[in-house]
Amino acid sequence: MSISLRFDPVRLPDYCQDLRQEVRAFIAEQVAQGVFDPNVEEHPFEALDGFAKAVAAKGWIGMAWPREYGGQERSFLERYVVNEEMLAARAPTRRYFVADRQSGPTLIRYASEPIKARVLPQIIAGNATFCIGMSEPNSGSDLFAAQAKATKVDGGWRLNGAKIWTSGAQFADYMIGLFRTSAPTKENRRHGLTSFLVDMRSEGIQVNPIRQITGMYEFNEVQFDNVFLPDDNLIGEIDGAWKQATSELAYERSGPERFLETFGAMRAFLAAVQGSDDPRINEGLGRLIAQLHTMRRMSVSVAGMLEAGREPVTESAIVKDLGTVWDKALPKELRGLISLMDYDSYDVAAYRERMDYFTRMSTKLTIQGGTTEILRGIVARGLGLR
Amino acid sequence: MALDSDDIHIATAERIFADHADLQAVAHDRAGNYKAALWQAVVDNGLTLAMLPEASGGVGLSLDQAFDLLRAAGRWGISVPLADTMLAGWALAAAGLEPREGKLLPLVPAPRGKLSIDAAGRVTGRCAEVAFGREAEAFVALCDGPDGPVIALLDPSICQIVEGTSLAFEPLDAVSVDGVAVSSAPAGGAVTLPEMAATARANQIAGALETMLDISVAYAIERKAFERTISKFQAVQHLLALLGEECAAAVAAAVSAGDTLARGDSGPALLLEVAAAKVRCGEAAEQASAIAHQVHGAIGFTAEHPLHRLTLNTLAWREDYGTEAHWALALGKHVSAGGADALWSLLSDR
Ligand SMILES: Cc1cc2nc3c(=O)[nH]c(=O)nc-3n(C[C@H](O)[C@H](O)[C@H](O)COP(=O)(O)OP(=O)(O)OC[C@H]3O[C@@H](n4cnc5c(N)ncnc54)[C@H](O)[C@@H]3O)c2cc1C
Repeated sequence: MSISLRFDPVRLPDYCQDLRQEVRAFIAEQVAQGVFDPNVEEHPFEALDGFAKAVAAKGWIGMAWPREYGGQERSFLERYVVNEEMLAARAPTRRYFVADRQSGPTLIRYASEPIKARVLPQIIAGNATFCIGMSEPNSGSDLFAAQAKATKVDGGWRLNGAKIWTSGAQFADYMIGLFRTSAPTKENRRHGLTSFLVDMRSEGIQVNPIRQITGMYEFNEVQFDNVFLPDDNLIGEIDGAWKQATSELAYERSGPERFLETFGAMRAFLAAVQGSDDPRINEGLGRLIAQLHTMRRMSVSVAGMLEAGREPVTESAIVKDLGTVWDKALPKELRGLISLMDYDSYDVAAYRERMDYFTRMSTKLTIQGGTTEILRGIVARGLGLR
Repeated sequence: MALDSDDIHIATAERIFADHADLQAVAHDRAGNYKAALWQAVVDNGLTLAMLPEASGGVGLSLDQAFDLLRAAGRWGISVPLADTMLAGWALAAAGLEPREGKLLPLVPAPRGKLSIDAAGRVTGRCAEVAFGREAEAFVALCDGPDGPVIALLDPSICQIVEGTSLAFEPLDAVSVDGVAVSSAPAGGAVTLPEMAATARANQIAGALETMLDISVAYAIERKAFERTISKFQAVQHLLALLGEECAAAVAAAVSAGDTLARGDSGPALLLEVAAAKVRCGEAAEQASAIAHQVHGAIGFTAEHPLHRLTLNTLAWREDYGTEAHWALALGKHVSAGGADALWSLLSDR
């Protein structure tokens, strides 16, 4: 057979499952101490910061990174377990999530030594929040249309232009941003973009919040007005950022956040229907769980591939596409099922309030970090169609 | 026995399937004349014994390898009761009964039937849809006994068989029983026959999807329309990407369930894995078949083209040993009784 999309049945080793119990106990303690409420979506920065410090004290930020930068060199599977427990418990990981998942690994691979030595320990201590500066008003799926500019000057670079939809920029300490350093060439339109580490406290940066459909302010416009960056802040190859993107995406795309973002909706639903013997509800629920279980098994399998040093680009795109489509549909599916319940058997108003949040946010799931259409293009390439 | 190591097992099996059930050749053989020689080769090479432990006359395959072999059979759209005879032989052995040669078919009553056995070994009841029922040389039935589940070996002479036809034009018969079993024993390890059987079908479906994906991609790369190959149209690329994703999900779910049975897991974990596999593979069968036909256009709608061997078989296999709804209901009942933390423990333990 010519096409092999094999997801081996990886089982998490015992040491991972022991760690899981430790994470659960830790989260329960944090909730009991009132550090966060799993049923609340927005936490003040102090709560996010307090939680990050507590996680850092456990050694769970950057836990798979090299010891020389303060990491623990624990396995990718252990990181997976910590991550999925945090998601299932709806823990407020915003202060460190992006840095832990992708910015840190990018720095480890491509940043200068002084930057690594300075910034990685900050992340590990829960003191450095990262944001991702890729999208621009006229450059979304097509990242290679980016126009925000970095110009070489004595001892460093000057940034000008704007990024948009930048999640968490309002409290980020750093951005890893994509800036144009040369024009694309005729042969390669991907040429000419360069990655930089930007200190968000630099002079000339302005962060303008953008209110979202949910009523919350998660993303922003970030303007750069002649912002200076020292040479050390260059990440990887000048004009060659496109070469650095693919492996990073495998990490970004296959994680459990791709199908657990609406787990809070599942929690609310199960609390409302607990003990129901309505076969319509149970049958519908069973189908949803069959999908959820299968995606998790695929995602764990990809974690195993990453642990083994492979770059499962197509497999990751598959997990993300299946995961986000399912995740996005979950509030709709649950709506269909809950309407079969007797309305005075659960707290309808509280349930609606909770569910409405998930319905409002669900449409982003198949857009952020690569749309459905872009992902299917990647899968099609993996199948040899392009 | 020609079979000794895992890869060789699968390779040997695939060779047999290629020799006797070439997709194109079989598609032309409306009368099913290929089946006798295929069955003979399958039996001669010990494939029907793949689920047996070596001590009971097996060929040294682990259970997950046996499921791999069924996925291979699925890749060729095999329509002889290979999985079924494997399962029936396994159930006899797991209940500590003497092995029996020949074409054995399992009778798994739920959800479309009911079988009981009394203290004297008399079996009564009915199974509504038994794949290949009329071909049985013996039935291996999972019955309700006075003291719990019992495995009973039945001679077809005590059964009344009403012939029917499956979606894939294969035998799908109703079997009624009233008579004394040849032998019987408490089911023991064979209580998981329903889970084994559902996982077997899930693997067959997953295998068929692998071939559907292969031939659909190959066709798209070759077929031209509007002066280019249809693989260049983004709409077609995205359809095939979805087919690839459904195929990947089906294989992942089926392999995971096979692995679970091979590890000997039981209880809610087994329910989760098996139900997820049968549900997910059933759903994937539906989506993948629709896409494969869409990509093939009219040629795929012909009896001549082998696509229907894969699509109709996978759709028919959804019906066997519990439909998606049957397994989803069992899983959903378990999950809704427990709440979210119990669900999360169940999922994350796997
Ligand atoms: C909640 C949220 C948070 C975000 N956070 C960040 C962040 O922190 N940092 C950041 O840089 N960006 C962020 N983004 C932006 C995100 O990465 C982009 O929205 C995404 O890449 C799509 O770009 P776009 O919105 O410009 O849509 P477009 O690229 O304009 O796409 C519009 C539509 O056209 C389709 N389309 C585009 N190209 C193709 C093609 N080749 N083939 C087929 N269809 C195509 C798309 O699939 C989509 O349906 C965030 C977005 C959201 C919703």
